[in-house]
Amino acid sequence: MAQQAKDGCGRRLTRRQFLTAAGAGAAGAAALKLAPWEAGAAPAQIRGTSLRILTWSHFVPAYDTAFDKYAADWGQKNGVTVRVDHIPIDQLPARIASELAAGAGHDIFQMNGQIQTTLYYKNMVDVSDICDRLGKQGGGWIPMAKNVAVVGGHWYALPEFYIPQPVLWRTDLFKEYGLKVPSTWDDLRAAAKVGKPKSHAAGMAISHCNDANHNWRAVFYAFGVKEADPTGKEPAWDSKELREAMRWSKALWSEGMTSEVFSWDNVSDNRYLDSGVAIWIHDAISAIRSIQDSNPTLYNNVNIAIDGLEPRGPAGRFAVVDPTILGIWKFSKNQAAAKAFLEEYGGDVKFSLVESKGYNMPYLKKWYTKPMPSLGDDPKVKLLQDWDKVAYVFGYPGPATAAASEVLSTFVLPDMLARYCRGEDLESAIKWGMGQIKSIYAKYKS
Amino acid sequence: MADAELAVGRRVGVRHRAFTRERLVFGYSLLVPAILYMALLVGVPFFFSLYLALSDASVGNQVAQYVGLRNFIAIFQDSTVRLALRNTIVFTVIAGIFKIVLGTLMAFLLVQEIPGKKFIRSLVVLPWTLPVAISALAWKWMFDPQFSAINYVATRLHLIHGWPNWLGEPGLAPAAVIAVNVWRGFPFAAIVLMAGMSAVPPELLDAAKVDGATFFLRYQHIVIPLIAPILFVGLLFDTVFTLSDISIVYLLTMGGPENFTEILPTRAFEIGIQAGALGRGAAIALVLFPILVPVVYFLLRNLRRREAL
Repeated sequence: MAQQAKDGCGRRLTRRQFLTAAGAGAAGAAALKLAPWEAGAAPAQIRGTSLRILTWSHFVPAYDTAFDKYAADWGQKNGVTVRVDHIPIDQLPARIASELAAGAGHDIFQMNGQIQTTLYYKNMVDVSDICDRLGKQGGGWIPMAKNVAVVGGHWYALPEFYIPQPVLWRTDLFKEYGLKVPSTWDDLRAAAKVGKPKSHAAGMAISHCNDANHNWRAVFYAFGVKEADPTGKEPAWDSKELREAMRWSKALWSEGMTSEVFSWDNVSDNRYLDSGVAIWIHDAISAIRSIQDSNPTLYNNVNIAIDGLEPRGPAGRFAVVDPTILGIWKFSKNQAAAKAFLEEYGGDVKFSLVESKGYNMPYLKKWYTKPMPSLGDDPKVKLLQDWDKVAYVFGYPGPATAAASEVLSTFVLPDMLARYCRGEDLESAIKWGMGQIKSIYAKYKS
Repeated sequence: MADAELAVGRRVGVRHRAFTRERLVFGYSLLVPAILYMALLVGVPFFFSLYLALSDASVGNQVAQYVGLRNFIAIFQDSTVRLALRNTIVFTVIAGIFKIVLGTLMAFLLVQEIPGKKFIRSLVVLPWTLPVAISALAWKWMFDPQFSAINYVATRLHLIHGWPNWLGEPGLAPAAVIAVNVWRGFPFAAIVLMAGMSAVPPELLDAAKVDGATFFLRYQHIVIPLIAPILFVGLLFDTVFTLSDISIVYLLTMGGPENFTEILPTRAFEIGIQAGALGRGAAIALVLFPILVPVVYFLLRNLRRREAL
């Protein structure tokens, strides 16, 4: 006769039923702490489902191929059909907006460069559990990670990687002109001043492009300019430091650059360096990866980053990077698979580093242990191993808010600087810029 | 007898009215697809834009609140929007003038009987038929500050001095954008005008010649009045296309340098889509509406008057 117990409703249970329920409860309790792959199998509910991922067309094309394979392999292992769509970076904001408006589209989407977490977070899945686990496993997140993914103390996106934009400088020209190895922005200004009359000007775009936004923010932050207060709600541009940065920047342009920079797009500086003209530029390493095979002589004469990593200004060293994050839509019908993929991919930083040839920089502190995969064994890029020490994102020192993102997307900083460079009075140019910025921030308060 | 005639007349009248009603119903029902098309693809987006423009809609906020004219007030306080409005009108007017002049000249050439006329006509139409992305990127290379083909050839022919930065100078960038727009658009004007000119009875022109009218007099008093309807329709299409064209500016300059090529469509895109402020973006896009309505009304009214004559 089977031993019997009573359940909460007073019904009698057999021992077999009792043991089955207890076992299921224990497995469930374990599953709360273990992610599916840690338990050795995907949770049953994601098998047989499909997952769609929207991401950019990587500037290192081989990474797209590798990522697609990674996603497909993960899908195969977990019984999920995965599809990855790549679109140009400039089209991401429009695509993200239209997917939310339609309430349909991809499950996982990427924000790249233009981070709008504070605008979309109400429609994004809270992934604090994933990010907390990854943070514990990965030695913690670098400070910048929270600026792009956290709203109100919750993580609404997985920080994927960021793109460093170091100084790329011609060692042969520096040697030929008797210039010392640069360490400060003043060193670079002196080099540009020497190089320009010898047809080797420097180049940083002062135009409507992403590079202009990031490069000049690096200069301005180095002079102590702050975009907003630490909460990100009040603009803080207007300052003595802003005026010093503007004067210095105009001097850099007039002494060491040409008016070409007023019409540059995001690849013009690449061409400027690759054509052998530029004595230095300030750009992602893709600028020289493209000549690694086609022009090895020039490649060997270009150094990535400098002593101290990013040029020092009066307020320190600030490298303004291009961040990317991955979010999950709340309307996604497969949030479980999306979270499972994000946690596995987010922890697999080695894949990201190796396949991108050091282009994708991690947000997790543990991965800055030297030698870093892909970076540690390449003397050309080894300085990037310490980039976490100087990496900042737009909106500094506040988070990357919607208001800061609008200041970025409307190119207020490059325009303000361009006006001054072309002869407008300093205060007049600043007044115009501050007018634009204040009205943008005011709209987000109302 | 009279009653019988009256009865017959009434029956005929009833049949006639029924027949007319049937024809009207049939006729209007044939219009329904076109009306539905206009309503769905034009009307719905327009009224939705109006709704967005009067609300605080943003990309991340599913629920929008009515804010009245606040968005319109905000955008007109923005000096960049005012500059974009000015640029939009200036670009459209200048480009329109050039397209009419060049289109007319080209149309006169195309109506001539010359060997290879069909081949020449197909070549002329090419700029208009090429996808705008391809043609804009080709021009971007030709205007490149470092590798400009135009500068290379022109400096060697001593046509220009120095190395102009076509897309980087506030005076040159608008001209470059207008030039690309004209290059793309004047073949359309040429084809439209050519079609009109082909329909002008040659006897009228011959009679005018016999009477001693010069070429310009014949063009002014015979050709233009006869092709005016086609001219107005072509002008209307071109005005609307140019006012709403985002592609050339987006691909060439992104509104730079310093917003000197910023136009309302690109500003609406920057604010509405890239910055996520749908309400303000829609308000910027709708600024064109009160400009377009009187232009269209004037053109169509002129057209109707000419047809009445």
